[in-house]
Amino acid sequence: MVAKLDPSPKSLQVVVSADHMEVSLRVTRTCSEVTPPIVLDALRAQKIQITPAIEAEVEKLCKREDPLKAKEICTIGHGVPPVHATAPRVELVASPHSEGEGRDRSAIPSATQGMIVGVIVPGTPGQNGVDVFAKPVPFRAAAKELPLGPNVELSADGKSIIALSPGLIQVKAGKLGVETAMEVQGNLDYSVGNINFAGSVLIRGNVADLFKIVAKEDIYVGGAVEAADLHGGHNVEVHGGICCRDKGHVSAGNDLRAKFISNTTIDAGNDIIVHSEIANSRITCKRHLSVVNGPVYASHVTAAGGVTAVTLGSSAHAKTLIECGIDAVHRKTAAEKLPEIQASLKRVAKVREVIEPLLKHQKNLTAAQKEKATEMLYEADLLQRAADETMREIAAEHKRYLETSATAEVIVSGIIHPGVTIRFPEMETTVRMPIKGPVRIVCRNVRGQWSILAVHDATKLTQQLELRGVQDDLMRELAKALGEGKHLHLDAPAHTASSAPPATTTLAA
Amino acid sequence: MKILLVDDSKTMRSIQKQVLIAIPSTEFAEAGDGVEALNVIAASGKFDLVAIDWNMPNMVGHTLVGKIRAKDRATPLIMCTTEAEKQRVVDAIKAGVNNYVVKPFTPDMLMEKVKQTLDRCAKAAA
Repeated sequence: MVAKLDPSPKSLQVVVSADHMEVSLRVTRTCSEVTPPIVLDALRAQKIQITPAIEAEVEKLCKREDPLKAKEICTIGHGVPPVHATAPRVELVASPHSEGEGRDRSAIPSATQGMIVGVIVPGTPGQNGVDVFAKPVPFRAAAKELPLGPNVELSADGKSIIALSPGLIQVKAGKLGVETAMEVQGNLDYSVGNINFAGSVLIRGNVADLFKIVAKEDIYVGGAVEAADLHGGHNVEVHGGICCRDKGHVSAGNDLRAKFISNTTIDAGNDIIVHSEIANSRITCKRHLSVVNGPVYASHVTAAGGVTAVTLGSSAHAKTLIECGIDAVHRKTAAEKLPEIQASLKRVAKVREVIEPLLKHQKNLTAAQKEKATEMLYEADLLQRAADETMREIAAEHKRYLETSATAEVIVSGIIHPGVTIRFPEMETTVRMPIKGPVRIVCRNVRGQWSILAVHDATKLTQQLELRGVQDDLMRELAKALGEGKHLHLDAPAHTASSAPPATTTLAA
Repeated sequence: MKILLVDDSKTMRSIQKQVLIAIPSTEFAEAGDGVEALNVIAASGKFDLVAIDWNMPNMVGHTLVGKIRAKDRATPLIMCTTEAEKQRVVDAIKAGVNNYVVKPFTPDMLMEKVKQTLDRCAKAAA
């Protein structure tokens, strides 16, 4: 049925939206007998592009049963909107919000160098639209720049984002990057959780009891460290003190600095520098230990490169052991590796012993036996090479240790209290009477005999101290395995008690 | 450098691979018998060295050498075998191998023979 519309074009008004994307018909007065050609002519007069969709809509409108009312607006067509381009975006490979429980509640998303930290989701190209007048409507272009933050780069295939340095994976302002340092503004406690980070860690406050920090690079703590575990791959610096109450452990790959150390086990790959004091602690460092303004007492210190302190021991004769020129880490490695090497070499010898007669009578061997013999020779070769490689590593470390320990000495500016034992390789002395500083305790070969001497630089006096031999079987065995024949002070009087004159004897001026 | 290891013993191929991996930039392909080796060569193209065992199922090493030499005179071939008789060595050399390693061998012996073969073939090609 044809809608009752006034055929007069005056009764039809074509309305176009402001953005030219919609066209409508408005009836100015109730009209009848309108047909699609009349409507389409009206649209053409307004330069509207007649599309099949518009034609269909007009057809439908004209067949309406109920008459169009005055001022009624009927939408009859749309333009084609543009498809805007989208920019490429990144998706994290590791989720930064994965959470654990308790002290492990915060799982820090850290990257190692070369690790894929994100993937690129490519952008989409844009497409122009068309308005109702058949004019193109341009699409909106997207930013072409990839959202890459610091310390990352695009992979060769352009599909992934690779970390250029170890650190914290972060998305800042939509850009994925790797921050090489992680900073905690307050304390390390339950609000933060344990930290295992590929870069450096900076804690502005304290590290609370039983929390743990593992950092591939440096650790800096602005406050104090309580009974916590800290393991820094490079340096560890604690602005306050380290007081682990015999529960925590702090280690640094290189240097360690702290205000004071109390009831703590500390290891450092290089130097340890403490401002005020070391008490009731076990300290190990591969180079020099220095307590700038205070004492070392009631502690066991092992420093391959020597010790400098104001005071050693206490007036209460607290038992203090200072091992100077001894490398605890090297000793530990040797203790672990030497038996392994010896077992490997023993096995190699046994295999060769079995094969030797077979090789001499190869004609009697079956093909299978010959193949088995080849396998055994290969196995022996592998074991030999592995043992040689480990031995080379130990030898290099031993050489470095000998160079460091050769000049190691204990330097005290204040006083060495009775009860302090100072140990050098293969010999030690226990101080019976106070030794006033400034003094250097050194191990020297005097007229063909090793001695422990107190050298008073100010007065130019040298005091020979009571000497006990301390046989170091492990280092002797290591020296033998390395083919040195002798350890650092092997000609020292091991197992001979008090071979030196009393502690007060002055040898030379 | 592309090396093809042909031996019916996987362990032996593994040993050869572990020894020869010391040669820089080396890629390995493996085959368990002569037929498989010909298929690998057909699929992968020319190799810089082929180490061949004598006694293998389907096609023995001696036949494989002949088949390879029928098409290609240049690729260095080494026979790695338990067959130590003089006549066998002569047969292998006549068939076209460039060198001969008798099992049991040490890793150093294998490496030395391989280097020797590669040097000789490089000089011959020059």
